[in-house]
Amino acid sequence: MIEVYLRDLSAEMGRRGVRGRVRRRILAEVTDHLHCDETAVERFGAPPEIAAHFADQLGSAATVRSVRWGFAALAVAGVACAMGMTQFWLPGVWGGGAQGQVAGSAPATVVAFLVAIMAAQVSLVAGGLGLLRTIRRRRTPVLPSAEVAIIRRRMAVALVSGLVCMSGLAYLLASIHGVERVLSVPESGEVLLVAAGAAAIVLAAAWIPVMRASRIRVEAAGTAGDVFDDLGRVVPSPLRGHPWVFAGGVAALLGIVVLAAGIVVSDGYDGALRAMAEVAACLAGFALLGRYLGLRR
Amino acid sequence: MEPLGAVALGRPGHDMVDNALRAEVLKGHLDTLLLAAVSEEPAHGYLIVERLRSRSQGALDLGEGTVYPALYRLEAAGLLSSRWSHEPGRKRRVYRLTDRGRAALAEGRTEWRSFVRVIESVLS
Repeated sequence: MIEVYLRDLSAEMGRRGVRGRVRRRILAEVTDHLHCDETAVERFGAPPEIAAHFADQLGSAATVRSVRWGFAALAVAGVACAMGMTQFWLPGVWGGGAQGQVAGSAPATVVAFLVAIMAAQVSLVAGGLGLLRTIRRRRTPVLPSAEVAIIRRRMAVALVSGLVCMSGLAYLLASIHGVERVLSVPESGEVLLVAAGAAAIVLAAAWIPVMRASRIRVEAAGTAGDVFDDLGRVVPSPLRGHPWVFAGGVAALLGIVVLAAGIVVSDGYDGALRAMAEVAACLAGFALLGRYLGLRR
Repeated sequence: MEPLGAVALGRPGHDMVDNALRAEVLKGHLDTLLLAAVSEEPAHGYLIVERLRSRSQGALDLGEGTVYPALYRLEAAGLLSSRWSHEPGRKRRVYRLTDRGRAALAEGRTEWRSFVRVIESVLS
């Protein structure tokens, strides 16, 4: 009877993605427990129920861990991205690029620049909100499956966007310095390219815990919440419950910041164009990803 | 050691405590109960369940399998540590309280006592 129970429990755990070393440990402990008392099998609980308990808990913990690793990788990428953007605005600031010129306004370079900028922002927002959600739910040992799905999506989007940003950045740098210089990185001492490459590797490595976590199927009941649950009292009460109004407010705020920066760096007209593009991109991002990332229900 | 669960969960024969309520109360305090069960001496899973049962004089009848996920969680939170103990013919995982676990247990006891005081003051 014990053997049948253990076999069923093992299969149920496997079905929920609890495998490998963890499953072996659980089965070893359960085996010991059941051999302590002949009647323990009856009191232990049905295999699907016990496997679900383990999966819910291990899946929640693995998801939270993956977010921490992911965010650490995003922080590295953020530094590389900031260095890259500085290089774009102030050529030569990181060495070796003082003589570099942006290769005109070639469409591919412009696209790479826009993609890098947008991907960096999506990455920051998705990763930041993923981290925020795990911090808000830190006292909840078992997260509802809907919540776990949102957190996993946020981290996946953040990492993909981070990698896209690094790729855009690399292309942009190649446009600034020319392919020959990019290929002779050690000689020219381009710290920037090394940073972008290292960040891309770190981002790719952060996928490992994300993938591991996503293998465990969490089935705990409950709802996921939205962006107002993430931000809590930061959001003024009139905006709560109105995601589109909130998104409009955030977009407007960003637009003002971009406009001000544009005026300081170049001129008002240019700043206004960038501000409008930022507002449009922000609202488009909210429309496209808002529901997927759990910003609105 | 004082059995934490016995106060509110009642003893056999105290039918006033509804089963659903009992389960709910137990769920909210399972972590503290488990920490208390290993506070004096390290124990493996089966022994932990037995300690809870005997200290509560049978009132705490846990679904035994549900104890293990909770033990894993407490270990991951750094409140318990565990290691394999190899005895003739068997291999068992023994859990012991960490310093953080001891502090959490003290906090849990304080919370529980103040909760009981509040309920007592209302009921009496």
